[in-house]
Order: sequence, then structure tokens, then C-alpha cells
Amino acid sequence: MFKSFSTVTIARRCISARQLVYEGYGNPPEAIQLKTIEIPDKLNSEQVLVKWIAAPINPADLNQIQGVYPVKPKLPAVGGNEGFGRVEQIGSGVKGLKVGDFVIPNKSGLGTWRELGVHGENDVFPIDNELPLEYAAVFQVNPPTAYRMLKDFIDLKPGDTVIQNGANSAVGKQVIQICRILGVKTVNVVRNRENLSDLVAELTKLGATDVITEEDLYGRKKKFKGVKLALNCVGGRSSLFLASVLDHGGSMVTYGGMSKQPVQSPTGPLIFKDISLRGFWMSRWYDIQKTPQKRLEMYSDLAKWMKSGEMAKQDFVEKSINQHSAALDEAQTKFDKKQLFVLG
Amino acid sequence: MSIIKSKTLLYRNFGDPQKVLELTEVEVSTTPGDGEVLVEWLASPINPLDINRIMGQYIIKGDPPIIGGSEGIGRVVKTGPNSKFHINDHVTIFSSETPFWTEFGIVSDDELQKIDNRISIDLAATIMVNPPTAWLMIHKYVKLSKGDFIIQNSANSGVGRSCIEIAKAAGFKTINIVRNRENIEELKTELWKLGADHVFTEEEFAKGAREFIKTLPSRPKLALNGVGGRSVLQISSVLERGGMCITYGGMSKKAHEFSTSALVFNDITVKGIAVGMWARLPESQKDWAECLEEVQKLAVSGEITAIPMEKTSLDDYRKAFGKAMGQGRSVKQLFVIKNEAAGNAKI
Repeated sequence: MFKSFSTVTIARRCISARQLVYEGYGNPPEAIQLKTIEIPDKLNSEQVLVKWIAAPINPADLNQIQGVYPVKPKLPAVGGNEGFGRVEQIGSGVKGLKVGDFVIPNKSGLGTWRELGVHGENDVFPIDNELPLEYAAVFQVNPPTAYRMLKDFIDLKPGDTVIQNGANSAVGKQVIQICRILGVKTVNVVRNRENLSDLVAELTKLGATDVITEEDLYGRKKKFKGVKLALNCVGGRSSLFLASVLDHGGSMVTYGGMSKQPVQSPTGPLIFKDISLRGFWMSRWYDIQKTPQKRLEMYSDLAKWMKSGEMAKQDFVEKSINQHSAALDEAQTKFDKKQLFVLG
Repeated sequence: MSIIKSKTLLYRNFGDPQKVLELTEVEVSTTPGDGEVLVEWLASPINPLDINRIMGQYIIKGDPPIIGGSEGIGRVVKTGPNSKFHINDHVTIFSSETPFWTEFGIVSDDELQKIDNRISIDLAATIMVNPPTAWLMIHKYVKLSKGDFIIQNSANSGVGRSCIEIAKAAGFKTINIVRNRENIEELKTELWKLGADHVFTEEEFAKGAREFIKTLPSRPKLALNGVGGRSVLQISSVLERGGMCITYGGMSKKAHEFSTSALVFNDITVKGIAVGMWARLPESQKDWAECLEEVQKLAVSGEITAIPMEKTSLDDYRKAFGKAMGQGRSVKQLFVIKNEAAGNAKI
């Protein structure tokens, strides 16, 4: 008897995709490698396939690769914590997302420097589908950081004043614009530089009420009244003077420490003016939300302001995934413009 | 209306206390008016604040001649019509500009705070600022459970000692940082006796903090700062996530420093307290009344004690100020204006 066997080949179709991976901590341009992987196109019921469109290089990404950031993904890991993509396929049990949705990582550590990713439905979060790429790629960190710091510490009223150092940083510029939209005045402290008048013009155009140098601040050349909130990403002497101009009951919120000096405050404002010093970390805010309510409200406000042009687009240097080592190198050495991987 | 002479330490110009202070007599009526009492002052300390005021370096200057004193305890010796006080009540005035350095004064009911008669004169004379500052910091900012840790610098100061005692009474543990000194072991023993759980010098803590904190069941939730500078960086950096650092003074005269990562990643909050200002706000009245009641209960039960003080008299004011302003560490000077047990012959 002749028995015929039917040969069953488990022909699982795969898609190949490139991604930027680090297997150990180190100097980012060397630690990051371009790898091509095969992605099965069959999804589990709770999964989505995301085609990543654009992802920036942020300082936190670099720190993470260096191994000095508090959030440490399991290695090997795909680099990048921010960016946006489009949902290409959804698993049978996915309810909150549909094909075509724009999504960003739900929290940091996802790995966004990749062409394609299979993610759990809850690992990504939908954003406005009509956002232009320049907004969507950097939607998750800086605009929300500015937004939350202006909303969560002091109940700001139109006419109140916010003072900030590092006013020229990405968050600083978002702060200026959101304050302008909310009718809140801003005093913006920047470091003196050759082309100061250009910078003053740029920040004024975004809506800055005042732009002063650190020397102006230390010299107390100008008095500012009604300062309820100070935003500090510098530390050291700059934070000392920020704290000292706060009104009674005001708050200084620290979100960075560019000078690498401790945050400082004089005694007087702390004990006689009842000021408080706080800190803000966007990743933790995302982590501790029990419902998406506040996040949806915030995203809706921000998307509205972006689409109407009330908030300006950020400038980038666009790079392809192949140019990773140049991009990472420039991200560590040139701070004027953010590096953006355009992935697809 | 009869008048008595009241021995008084006053100043007519701002300047060096040993030069501008003058021991003299003022006339005081012995007939308190409606809602007033005649107080015989018993004791009052020399606080750093007094020295600043006399030197004209305090925010509120006042118009000389000014009778000295910022804190003290007295006894009601005569009551005017409609006064709510009784003869022999112990009373104080809660104000930094109060004439305590005199034998007698007429004071209106509104300004007086009754102090439990069972509290010793030493403690009663210094009960309105330091123990309430400590009590409020420990009880009104962070919810602590028994066994939780509080860390503080300036543990040897008046507020620091009150913190040790008040924390112990509530079942909280204290980690105490002091500056190194010759008799450090004596000081450590003294603070242990007050109820301190751990005592370190700044140098010891800087070296061993990391290891020591790891041995604790939980990190401190509250840091109390009377120093500033690097010292507060030290104590605020070991706080538990979401912890609180409260500043009540800046003895080092250096800016208060906090680590960026403690603020950003560990979500600590930094606040300050000046009880003299806070206690006058309308919204503080409920907490202030509770605080004074609780502090007095602890004083009566012996759970808080007077800080070490050297007793002196108004007559010896030059010597007392010499010590109070001297170089190095000297014990706080307390003017005993009237020995209560001696009774009163003048009225």
C-alpha cells in the first residue's frame, strides 16, 4: 500500500522591518545598531501592528542608552521613547483602536526608533488623526510637560505671571505659547549670547511678555509683580533668583537641571512667603493616571491649538534610519535643533 | 490711681545691646482698665531675635524707647473689670515685639494667652515658638504612622530638641544630624536621652548615609531643616518618594539646596514655616489652637522639657548679653525677673 503524505508547511508570512537597537549601555552613536527583524503578520487578539512614522531623539533617550536614566528597559531594547505611528492591523479583540489611527507610546520605554512594531493595545495611545507630522512626532513629552506644569500646581488666572529659566528650550517655548493662549504673562530668562536680539524676537513672536538675561535677573533690574509660578530647568543660582521673585504662596516647579547644580532657594521666601518647591516628571504623570480622562482632555486642548496654528511647529533636522550614528552624534553635540528620525 | 516702679531693661537707640541697653525704672499703673490685667513678668529668654531687634536688623524696627524681650511668661496679679483672667493665671503674649523685660505691665485680655500653671517657668517662658514650630511640622504636613522616620538637621537647637521629644511622644523615629564639636559624645548622649533614635554628625552622615538608610524598614517621609546650604541637600535627598522637607530656619546663612532628581524623580515637596506669621492668619486659627493645647499637654506630662538655659537677672544683663553674643556655643540666657515663690511685696 502506498501511503501518500501531505506535507504541511507552516508557511507563516513575515514582514521584515528595520529598527535601532542597543544590547548594552554605552555611548549612543556606538551602542545603537541598525537591525532588521522579521515581524509575523499574525497578531494576537490584543495586539496592534503599528507603522512608526517619525520619532525624535530626546535627551532622555540618550541618557537611557547611557544607562543613567531612572527608567531602564530590559536589554536588548529598541531606542526612543517618543514618536508617532499609524495602526496598520488590529487583533480580533482590540476595541479601543482601529486601522488608520495615529498612536503614540502609552508610556516611556516602548522603543519608537523602528519601522514597524507589534504592540499590545494598551501600549499605545490614540491622538488626533489630523495632526501634521511635526506636531505628532513630539506630542507626548514637551507640550504635555508645559501644559501640566501650568495646570497642576497653581490655579493660574488671566493676568497672573509665570517666570521661567531655560525659556529657549523646547518646553520653554511651549510654556510661552500656552501662557499666551491662557492670557498668562511670562517672564522668560535666557542666557546671554551673541545673537540675543534674534532670540528675544523669536520668543516675543511666540508670545513672551518679557525676555531677560540671567544677568538682568541677578541684577534685579526689573521688578516683577504677581509671579505665582516659576518653572526651573536650570538649577543653581538661576533657581535661587527664580524662587526669590515668587509672590506669597507661589510655587517653583523643577523639571530639569541643565546646570547640574542643586536647586536653590533663599530662606526668606520659604518661611515668610510660604512658597513651595516641587518637581515634575512627565513619565510619572502618565504612570499614575488611573483613567484616561485627564490625558484625553489635555490632548484635545493641545491638538486644537496645534491645528489652529496657535502653537507653532518645532524645527527639526530630519534623518533617515540609516543615518542613525550621525543623528545620535549630532543630538549629543548640537543642541539648537532636535534630531528627528523619519521612518516611513 | 496708684503707681508702682517697674525695673525695666530698655533701649533708646539701636546698636550693640551691651552699649544701648539701659536698666531703669518705669512707672506702671496698678489699676488695670476694662478687659485688662496687671501682669507680673516672671521670666524671659534672650533669643537671637532680640539681638537682631536691638541692633536694628529686624524687619520690624519699632520706635525707641523700646522695652526688650520677645518671649516670656508672667502671672496675673490684678484683674480689671470684665477681664476673663484670674489672679495667679500664668500668661504670655504671642508677639515678637512685646515688652517682657520689665517687672510689671498692664496688658489687655486680647493680647494674652493663658499658659497652664503646671508647666515649669523655664519651659513656659519658651513655649510659644519652638515647641509649636516642631509640633506643626510633625503633625500638620505629612500623614505619619507609628514607626515612620523623620530626619532633621540642627537637632541640637531649640526646635530640634522639641522635634525629638514630640516625635517620640507620637511614636515616630528620629534621625538627627548635628555639627561636629569637641564634646560630641556628650551631646549624642544628651539627645539619646531626650528620645533621639539615631544621632550623626554631618560628616558621619555624609559618609554613611547610603548604607544607613538601606538598613531602615522605610525611608524618612519628613525632613526638617533649620540650617540650609548642603546640610538640607543631605537630609532631603534620602526622603521617601513623595516625602516632604520643611524649612524653619537658615542658620548657615547659605541658600537651601535640593537635588534636582529628588524633586523631579522622587517627587519631594519643599515648604517652609514661620510660626509667628502663620499663627496670625485667620485660616490658621483652628490648627493654632489645637497646637497650643497639644503642646501644653505634652509639657504638663513631661514629654517635652525646657531646653538647657542659664538663669540670670535683669541686673546682670551685660554679662548675659556677653554670653548670648559670645563666640562659640553658649547656653541660652534666661532672665528670671521674679522668683514666683518669693511672693510679691510691692502690691
